[in-house]
Amino acid sequence: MLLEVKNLHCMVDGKPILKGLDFKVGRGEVHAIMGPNGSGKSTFASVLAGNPKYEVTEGEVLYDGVNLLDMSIEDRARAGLFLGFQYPVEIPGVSMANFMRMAVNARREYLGEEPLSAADFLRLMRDKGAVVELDTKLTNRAVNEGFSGGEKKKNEIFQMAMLDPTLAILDETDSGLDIDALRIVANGVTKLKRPDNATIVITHYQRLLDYIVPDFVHVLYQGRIIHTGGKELALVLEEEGYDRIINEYNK
Amino acid sequence: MQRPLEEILSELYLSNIDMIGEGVPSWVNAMRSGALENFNLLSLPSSGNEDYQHTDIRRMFAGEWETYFVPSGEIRAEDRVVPANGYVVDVVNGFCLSDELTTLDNGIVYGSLRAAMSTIGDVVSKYYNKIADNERAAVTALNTVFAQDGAFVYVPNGVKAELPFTLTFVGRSDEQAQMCFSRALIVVEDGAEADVVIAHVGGGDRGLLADHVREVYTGTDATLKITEVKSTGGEVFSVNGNYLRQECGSRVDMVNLWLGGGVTRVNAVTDLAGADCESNLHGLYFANGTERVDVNMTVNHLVPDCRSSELVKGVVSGEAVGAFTGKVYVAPDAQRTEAFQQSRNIQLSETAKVYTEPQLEIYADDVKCSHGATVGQMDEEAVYYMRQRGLSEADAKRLQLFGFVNDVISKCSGDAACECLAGLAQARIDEM
Ligand SMILES: Nc1ncnc2c1ncn2[C@@H]1O[C@H](COP(=O)(O)OP(=O)(O)OP(=O)(O)O)[C@@H](O)[C@H]1O
Ligand SMILES: [Mg+2]
Repeated sequence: MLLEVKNLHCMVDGKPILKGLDFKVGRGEVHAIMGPNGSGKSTFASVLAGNPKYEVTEGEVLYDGVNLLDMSIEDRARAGLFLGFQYPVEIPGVSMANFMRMAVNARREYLGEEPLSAADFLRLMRDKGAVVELDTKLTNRAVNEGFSGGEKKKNEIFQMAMLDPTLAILDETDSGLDIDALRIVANGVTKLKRPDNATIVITHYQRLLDYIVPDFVHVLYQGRIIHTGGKELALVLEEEGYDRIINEYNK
Repeated sequence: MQRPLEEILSELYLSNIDMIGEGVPSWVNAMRSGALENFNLLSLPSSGNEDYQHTDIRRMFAGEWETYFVPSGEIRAEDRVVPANGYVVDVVNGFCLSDELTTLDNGIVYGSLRAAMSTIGDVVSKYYNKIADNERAAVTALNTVFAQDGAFVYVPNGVKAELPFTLTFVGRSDEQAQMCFSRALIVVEDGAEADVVIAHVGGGDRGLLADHVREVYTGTDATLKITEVKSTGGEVFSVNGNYLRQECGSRVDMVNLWLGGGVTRVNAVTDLAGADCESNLHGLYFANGTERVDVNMTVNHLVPDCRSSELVKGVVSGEAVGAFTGKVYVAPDAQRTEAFQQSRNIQLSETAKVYTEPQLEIYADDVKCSHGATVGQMDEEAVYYMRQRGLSEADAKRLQLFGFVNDVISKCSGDAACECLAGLAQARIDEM
C-alpha cells in the first residue's frame, strides 16, 4: 500500500471535521473522492499535506509504510506527496522559475540526487510547460500573481509535472477550467501516470473522470467515507445526487 | 547646569573656524555664519517635535563626539559594498580622498567638492546650498556650518555620461566616537543624462554620527538615475538631508536602500519646480535588533503637470522601529498633478514597531493623488504553499521576503550595482 489511512479524526478551531476516515491507495491506482460541499474533502487533503491549521486528534496515516503524520510539511512534499490546491496562493515578487528551482532541487536532494544544472532546469521547465500547454509567459511571472482562475489550476498541474510526485492529490483542479483547459489538464495528469505512482482526484463533476478514469470512486460525507464503488459510481451520482447513498448510510 | 547643545556646537564651530574654512573659498565660508544663525534659531528638534517623534536627534548629538577638521582615514576593501564602477569618488569621514577634480573631454567634472568650489566656483556657486533647506531643518543648517568637503558630480548641458558615477562615503571611528559632516552635490544640467550610485558604508566600534546632505539638481529635460544604499556596521547614527530639485520635463528614478546599522533618520525633500517632471522615488529599509529607521519624505508639486510616485517598503524584526512619513504637497496652481504614495511594511516580530503616516496637502482641484499604507505579517498561507512544494520553512520565508522587496531592488540603477544590492538585501533577509 502506498497510503493507508485508519480511523482519522481531525479538528479545526475546536470543531471536529474528519470523524473516523478510512482510506487506502495502492501504487498505480487512481481514486476519486466526491461528496457534498463542506463534507471534509479539502480538509482531508490538507491533513495529508500537513497543513498546521488542522489538528489530528485520532487515527493513523502510513505513507509508503512510514508515519506520515510525524513528517514535516516539506518532508512529505520531498517524499513525493503533492497537493494541487483548490485555491492556489499568489506569491508576489517570487518568480515561478526561482520557486520551482528550489522546489525541484529540494526534492532531488531528499532523493540523494545532484541539483539540476541551470540548463537542465530550463529544459525541464520548457518540457513540462508543454505538457499542460502553459504559456512560457506565465512561467516567467511571479507565482500565481495575476493568473486567471484557470491559469492557476494549469499552473498546479505544471508544478506537479515538474516535481514528478509519487502521490498526487488534486483538489478540484477541474473547477474554473474551460472545456479545452479541462482536457489539457486531464490529459496532463494522464500522461504523468505510471505504475508506481498514484493519484487522488477530488471533484464534483463526472466529466473530469471521463478523462482521468478512476479505479475507485468514494463518497465522503460528514468526515467519513460512506460509500466506495467503481468508475460507474460517478455516473450514478451525477444522475441521482447523494441523497440515496446518504439515506442508506443514515439507516 | 549643562550647557545647551546648540551652544556647545556653536562653540565647536567658532573655536575651529580657521581650520574649517581653510582651502574653501570665502563665498562658501560666508554661508556658514548664516547657517549657524539658522541653526540656533531652529535648535535641534526634541522628540516632543511631531516631525521627530521617532528619532531622538538631541540625544544623538548629545553624545561624546570627537570631530576632526582635517582629512583622516583610508578606504578599505570591505568598504566596496558596491563595486567602484565608472567615475569614482571616495569620501572618508567627510573628506574626499584625493583632493582632485577630473574633467572629461565632454565637460563632465567629478571629484572633490572642495576642489570644485575653488577651481570652478562659478559653476558650483549656482547650485551649492541652493537646494538644501537651511531654513527648516536644523541638522541641514548644521551641516552647512561644518561641511568642508564631499563629492561633486557635474554633467553639463546635453551631455550623456557614458559610465555610471560611484560615490562612496565611508564613516569610520577606530579610536574615538566621531561626528562627521559630508556633502554631495550632483548637478545634471539641461538635457543631460547620468546614472549615480551612492554608498554609505563603514562603521567602527567607537560609534559614529554622520550628518550628510545631498543636493541634487536636474535641469530641463535631464534624466537621472540614482541609487543610494546605507550599509554600515556597528553603532552608526545617520542623519541624512536629501534634497532634489527638478526642472521642466526632467525625470528622476531614485532608489534608496537602508540596509541597516544603528539609527537612520532621513529627511528627503523633492521640489518639482518645472512642468512635466517625473519623479519615481523608491525606498526599502530593514531594521532588526534595536535598529531604527525613520524616513520622512516630502514631495512638493510646485507647478502643474508633474508626476510623482513613491513606494517605500520596510521589513522590521526584533525590537526595531521603522517609521515612514510621506508628505505630498500640491500648490494651488499645480493642476493635473499625479501623485502616488505607497508605504508597505512587514512586521516580523510583535516587539518590532512600524509607524506609517501619509500626509496630503492639496490646494489644486484637478489632481490625481492617492496614498496607501499597509503593515502586515508574513503570509502564512504562502509559506504553507511553498513548503508543500518542498521548500524548508526558512527558505519559504526568505523567498517570500525577497519577493516582497524585489520590486524595489529591481529598480536599482546599473546591472552590476543592482545585482550586488540584491545580494546585500538577501544577506540582510537571512539575518532577519
Ligand atoms: N479554518 C476553518 N475554520 C472553521 N471551519 C472550517 C475551517 N476549514 C474548514 N472548515 C469547515 O470544515 C468543513 C469541511 O470543509 P472542507 O473545505 O474540507 O469541505 P469540502 O468537502 O472540501 O467542501 P467543498 O466541496 O465546498 O470544497 C466545512 O464545514 C468548513 O466550514
Ligand atoms: Mg474543498
